Amino acid sequence: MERNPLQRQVAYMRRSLFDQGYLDEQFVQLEDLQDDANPNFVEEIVTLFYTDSARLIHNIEQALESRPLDFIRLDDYMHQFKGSSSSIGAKKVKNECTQFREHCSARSAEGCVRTFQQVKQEHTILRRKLETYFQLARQAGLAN
Amino acid sequence: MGGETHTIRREGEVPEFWRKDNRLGGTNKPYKVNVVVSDQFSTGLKVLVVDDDVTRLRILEQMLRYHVTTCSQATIALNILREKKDCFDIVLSDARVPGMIDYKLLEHVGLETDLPIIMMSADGRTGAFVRIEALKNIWQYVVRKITL
Repeated sequence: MERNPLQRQVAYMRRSLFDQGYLDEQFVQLEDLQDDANPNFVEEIVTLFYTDSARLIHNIEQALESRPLDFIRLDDYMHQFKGSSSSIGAKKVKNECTQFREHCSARSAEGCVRTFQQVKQEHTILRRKLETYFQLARQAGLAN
Repeated sequence: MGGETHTIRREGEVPEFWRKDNRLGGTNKPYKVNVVVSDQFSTGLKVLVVDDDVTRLRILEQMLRYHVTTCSQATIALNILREKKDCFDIVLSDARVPGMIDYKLLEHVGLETDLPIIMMSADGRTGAFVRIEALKNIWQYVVRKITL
């Protein structure tokens, strides 16, 4: 299949996201669910996730401010957040979530605070990459 | 490598339930999985999906393609089931749904209805995410059971 340069770029970017560990197999599953009736399903799901996860992040941030830390509550929030992240195939985010939960188990306040920064960072990085990816994909589609 | 095919064969029909290609970074267009459901399934199967994660809920809605009602609270789900007893064939639920503790929904549904209920996640340690592949396998099993 002949591809124009933009399409090649999109394919390359997509490949990179997987190769660099930002996305896992779950993302492919989402792509598989996309169809003519829902041609932007993947982007819809990602947007939904980022809108919803803002709430969870806020909850965790608030919980991290209370003293003493309620590790059970923190773990519960992170469990939800991890589950949600996994649904879109956010591999690095998911891994950071696991780290966070380990610190909850160990009742390490410092560990929780530190890893939560990493969770947020990965969360933001992925959003930017996916925004760029979807934008490029749209341009490539239009250029057809 | 290569494709994976799960099929449900029924008399007089060769429906393809789903097919997945494992290639990554391939074509520009995502590889389309045709969840072709035979007429009998699409008119017959009504699912109540209960999950407090909106992202997961939307994924399941897209995935199941049957007559799907989604719901994010266990208490609401129970009310729906009580009011519309015969409107559902199966309940699909995340084990941790707000409004109930863990497996209470399962318990209630079991006691009050004879609906099959699939719990999507195990305990907290494994993480409550939708493993679509696993769900497809469960689904294929369930659909077989219901239609046999």
